[in-house]
Amino acid sequence: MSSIIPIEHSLILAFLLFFIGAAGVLIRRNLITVLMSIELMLNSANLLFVAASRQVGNVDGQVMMSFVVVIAACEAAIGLAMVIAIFRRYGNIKTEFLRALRG
Amino acid sequence: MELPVLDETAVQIIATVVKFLVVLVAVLHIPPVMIWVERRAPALMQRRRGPNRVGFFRWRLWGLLQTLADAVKLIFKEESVPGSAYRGFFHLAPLIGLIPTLLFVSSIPFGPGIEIGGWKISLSVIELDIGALFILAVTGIGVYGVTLAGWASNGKFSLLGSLRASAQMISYEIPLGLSLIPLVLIYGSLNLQQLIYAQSVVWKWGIFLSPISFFIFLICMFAETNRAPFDLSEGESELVAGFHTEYGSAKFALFFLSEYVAMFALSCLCSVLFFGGWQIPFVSHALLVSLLGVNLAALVGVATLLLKAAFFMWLYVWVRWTLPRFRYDQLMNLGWKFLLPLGLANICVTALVLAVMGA
Amino acid sequence: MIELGFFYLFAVIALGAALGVILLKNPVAAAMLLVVTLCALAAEYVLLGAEFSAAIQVLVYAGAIVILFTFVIMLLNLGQEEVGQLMGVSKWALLFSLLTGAAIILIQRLSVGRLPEAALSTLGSDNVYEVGMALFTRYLWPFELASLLILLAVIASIVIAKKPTLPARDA
Repeated sequence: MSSIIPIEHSLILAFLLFFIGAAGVLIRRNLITVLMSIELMLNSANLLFVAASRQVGNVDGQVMMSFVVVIAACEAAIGLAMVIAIFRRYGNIKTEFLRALRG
Repeated sequence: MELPVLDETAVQIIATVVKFLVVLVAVLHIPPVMIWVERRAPALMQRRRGPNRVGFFRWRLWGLLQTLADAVKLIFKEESVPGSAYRGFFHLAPLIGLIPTLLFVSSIPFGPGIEIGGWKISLSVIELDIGALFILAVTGIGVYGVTLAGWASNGKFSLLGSLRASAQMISYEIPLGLSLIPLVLIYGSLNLQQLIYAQSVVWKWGIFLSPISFFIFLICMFAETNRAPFDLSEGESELVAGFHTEYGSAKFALFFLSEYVAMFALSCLCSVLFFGGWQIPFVSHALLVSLLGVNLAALVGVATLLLKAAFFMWLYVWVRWTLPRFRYDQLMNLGWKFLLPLGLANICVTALVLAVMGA
Repeated sequence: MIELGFFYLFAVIALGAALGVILLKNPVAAAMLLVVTLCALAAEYVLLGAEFSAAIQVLVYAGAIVILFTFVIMLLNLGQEEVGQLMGVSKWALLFSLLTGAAIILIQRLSVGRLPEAALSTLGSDNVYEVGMALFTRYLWPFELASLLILLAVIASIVIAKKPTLPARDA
């Protein structure tokens, strides 16, 4: 682990991942896929934290990364519970059916 | 021709490849033997004979060759894929199930290091400082094989079996992880080899220092491998064969293989965590080294670990033919309402005791 | 140099799999590719010297969260999405995300040279120990809050996903 991976590489990878995740949220109508895309975006943040931790030379970034994982777990649990509830109510999980709150 | 001079990295890479091949070949021999045990042992318990016909002329070898015949049969059987199956995943699932278990076995330290030509070589294929975490991570991935197999078969028995299996395996991973934490607290390391060295004396074995951990671990061992009394994912009286209903031939053999490899890995892990790993009770490793030299002592260590693991393999068979199957709600209640609080309480008590002793 | 090569390899794997996640129609296949992405990222963490993060990544993300996804997909028995059912606004969405991506990369390009120099020597070899020390000393309160959050999430998800005992009023 002696050689250096320049942080720019990690940055570009993280940005691309975030971009893919954001695109997934925007173009997919399957609620589960949307949730998975959100996981992708959270992961890009994680990668940034870890890379920054390496760059700055302390472990704060990795600590933050574990907090993000905690939040991702909560998000997945609640999101999937909502998916199940929505499925019970509407019979499918397409996002365009979720218009109850539209004025 | 002159041999190129080897440096440390090259030696370690070669050693890793060799070790992996050895483990792979050794692991391939577990299912045939275990299937034989699993047929003869209940026969012993139920006062019948079990398979004893296959053999050459007069030499029957207690039916040992029966499994060989079965293996040949399995491999040459016609493969059938259900018409409605998701083909790609159907073919991939057995492999996805096997790879994590192989990784699991690879991370177990089978013995103290050996020395060949001045190079020190450790006897685990991949020695990691975070070995215990690695094992938890790998068991987490192991669920996918079963889950995918059931889903890809696209039949109701398979799907129900794999739903049951995945819920069961994630439920019991948590107590499994919790049961490791007190040991990590006591011995102060996640490295399995370090854990073994810390258990140098018999009264320092994990089972004596943290018996509740052992209790939880033992139950989770059975649940994680989907073995009786927790074999609800197969449950032949309810689900035909659960997640591998639609599998036949070589792919079925692969599922068998990964089940037995997982059993073996968990048995080894149990010996490593709670029974001093490769150390012979009451005989210190230093004494052994002075008597036999480093390499022979290491071999003795490997044999010791395998012996300890063999006991737990036997325990698997023993329990399977002794206890009836749990009901599904009983299984979930046991996991979430009993083992989980017990594991948490165990961690708290261990931490308190350690803090008091340290102060 | 070998590390850099591996970094590129896993980066390509991660990006390819991530593209699969958002483009495949079969939800289980997407979930499996998500696992691939997560494992590739875990490999990147190892390359970045963060073994603990890599282990947590595989343990929690790949081993628990995605299994949850797969479980729900199988429970609801979701079939494939019909062809051509990408969002009607997909053109706009695509444009928007392309613009976002371009903007992000532009920002990144501008930031090169203004980043702090790599400080390698301060990161010790015992990664787990250091992370643990930070978690339980400096970050103790955030840590406790995080565990509270998990508890809340568990309760909330049970409440949300529980079968309603009364029939819905306006269903």
